[in-house]
Amino acid sequence: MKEPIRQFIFKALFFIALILLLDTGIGGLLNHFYFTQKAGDDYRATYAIENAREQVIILGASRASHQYLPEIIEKRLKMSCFNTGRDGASIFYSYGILKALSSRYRPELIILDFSRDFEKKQNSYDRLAMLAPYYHRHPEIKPIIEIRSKYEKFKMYSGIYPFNSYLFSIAQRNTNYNIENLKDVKGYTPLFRKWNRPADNDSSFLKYDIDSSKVEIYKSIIKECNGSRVNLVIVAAPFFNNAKTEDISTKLAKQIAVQYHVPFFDFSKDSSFRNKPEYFADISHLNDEGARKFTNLVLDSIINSPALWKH
Amino acid sequence: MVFTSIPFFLFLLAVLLLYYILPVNLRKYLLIFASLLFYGASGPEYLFLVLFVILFNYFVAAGIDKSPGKKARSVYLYASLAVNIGILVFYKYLSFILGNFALLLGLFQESPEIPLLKLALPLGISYYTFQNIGYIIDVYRGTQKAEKSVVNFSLFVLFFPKLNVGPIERARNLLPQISAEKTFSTVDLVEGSKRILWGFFKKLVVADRIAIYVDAVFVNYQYHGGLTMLLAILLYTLQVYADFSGYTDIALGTARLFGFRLMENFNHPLLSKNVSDFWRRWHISLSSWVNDYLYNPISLKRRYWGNWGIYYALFISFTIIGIWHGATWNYILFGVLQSLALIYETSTRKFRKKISRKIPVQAYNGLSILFTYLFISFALILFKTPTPGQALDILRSLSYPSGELSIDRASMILFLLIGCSILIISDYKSEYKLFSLPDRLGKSWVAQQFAYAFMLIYILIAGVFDGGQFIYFQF
Repeated sequence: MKEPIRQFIFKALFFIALILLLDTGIGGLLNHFYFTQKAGDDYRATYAIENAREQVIILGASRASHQYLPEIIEKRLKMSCFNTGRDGASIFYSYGILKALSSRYRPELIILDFSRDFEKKQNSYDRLAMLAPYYHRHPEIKPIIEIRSKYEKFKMYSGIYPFNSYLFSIAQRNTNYNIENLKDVKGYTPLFRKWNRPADNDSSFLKYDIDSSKVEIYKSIIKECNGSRVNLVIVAAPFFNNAKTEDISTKLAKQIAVQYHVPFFDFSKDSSFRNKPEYFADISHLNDEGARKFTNLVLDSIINSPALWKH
Repeated sequence: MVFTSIPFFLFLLAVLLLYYILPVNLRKYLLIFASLLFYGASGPEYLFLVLFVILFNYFVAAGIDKSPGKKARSVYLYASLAVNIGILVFYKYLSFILGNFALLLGLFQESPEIPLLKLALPLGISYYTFQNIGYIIDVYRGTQKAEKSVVNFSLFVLFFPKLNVGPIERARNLLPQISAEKTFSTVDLVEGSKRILWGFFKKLVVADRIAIYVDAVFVNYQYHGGLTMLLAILLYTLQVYADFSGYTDIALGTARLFGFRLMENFNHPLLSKNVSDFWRRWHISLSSWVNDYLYNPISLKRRYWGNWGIYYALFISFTIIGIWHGATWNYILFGVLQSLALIYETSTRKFRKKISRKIPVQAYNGLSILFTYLFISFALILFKTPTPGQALDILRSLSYPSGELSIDRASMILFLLIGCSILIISDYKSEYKLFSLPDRLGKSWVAQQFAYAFMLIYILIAGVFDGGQFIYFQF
């Protein structure tokens, strides 16, 4: 009996050692190649977190990434600009980017795209995985990544876990395979297709619960900007929908913005885009033509805003 | 406590250590305590309910055992059925029944005043109710002795690996194992761990990966083309299979760590050649339960009806399987659809056999598997949608112009393809015993350690760690 138990313990220890070795080795490789990507979302996130020094920074999710053109902003404001928006991101991600930027320099202007960001949904937390590769390199965003779950800090002991689900994108973006399709213009990733269905009147999607953690993060973004004397504007971009009900997130976000004296420009029901499918790629995103028009409208509001440029 | 969560892992580790440290006579008490803790962690409010159910069924079975006359035994049986089914109906079906009653009354009066109840479903109630009913019927039939020890019977109902999502255990399988003395076995530990790892693979790498795609498509079905919808429908079947069989693997593996062997619940159902075959391989603990306690007694009682007796038994049995899954019209329709397919298969058996002789065996088998998969996939639309109307909308969306296949990221599809391929190849390999590793490699412990280490590493690389609850928890 003693011999099998001894053997069992030996085999178990061997297995554990093997796992640790593989986890450290493969994790190290993933870590190396993650930061040598040549294009795509991760490349842009790394640039935003580690290198960006532009005067104007755009924060948000896909509706930021596809709808604000840095080249127009640079031309009209005569300032350098970078769009950090990322598909599938949430307000937690925007806060993470802001924390990383603030630890390095002070941008002149931050444009936060607000897209019903207070909706309670689990995948906003899941998608904090986008920041996981930076967990060990950027202590300033650790607390934000740990919002994902109370066990996140323990999971981060694994070498591979921060790069979970990244294997193929890392492989693709370290080679030249299909890399042209991933290219951006200072973070802006245009959509060229045109929407071809009529606008919906349905407002059922506007009924949802508010996530108080997201509201707190929104307030933290405002406080962080106000505290470090960065000009902040918050923008709600248009949707291709004719629902009459006002979105509860946008309503609350506006109230908070007023409370903290931050300009909030609401284009969510702007007549320039109402019933104009030619400006949209889908119901939530403007196409390139729409994005150009929209960026100019946002800039008109920024330039004419008396609340800005106090700092 | 979800099987794939860190709290469950810590809980399992602690219980396992204590289990093998404690003297043998205390181990059952530890498992009962751990099971109560496990159940209480998900919903402490229903602990008293499950304790009541245990004591009630324990005494009913003892009553049946002691009663000499058939009449007295029947009284105990019907009392038990009334209480067990009554509790299940109260928690699971009452709001559905009242809601439909209100709708019906609404046809005749303007605003019917029917109190609508919204009760939280006690976890595992469908599983332990069926397990208890099976036990009581076995004792009534005399095929099972009533358990004398209330401790053993409590563990039979509560044993945490199978408490929430089954398998729906049989007394003849589990009770003798509970009574037997358990000794420490490294084989059990190793085999149990392997099974758990395979379950994790199925759940995290296959089911939850597919779920990302399928959920995204089903939520916005009106914006997707027919081709994308078809892919989502076909993938959903794989998702449900990987999710439920993954859960079962973790449950069976966990039980094995403590020296228990729970009954198998799946036998490569996606390789079934017809719907009857499918139900012999899918959720075996439920389908065999229905076979033993519903289908056989009904078809025996109606044997004078000839084939109609069989059709009748099939219709009742599968409608009940549908209802067991939940209190919605979709589940009822799902059951009815299955029964109709089975009636068709039963009535055309000879004709189909004749056709099969004219077609090469491999082609016939391949087509049979394909048609069965398609039938099950389309039937499962009823699982994925809340109302029959929405299920029809999904079917209608198949006729939308195909357009481009909606693929968010190539990497997502690659992960999905690899996971699904490993699962299908593994099933195919064990079904047809096609190839095996050379003996020297297959039996080498170093090779095995590397194989399982790579599987664990692949789970870390490709698993979806935020997928959440198992699909069958809702039933």
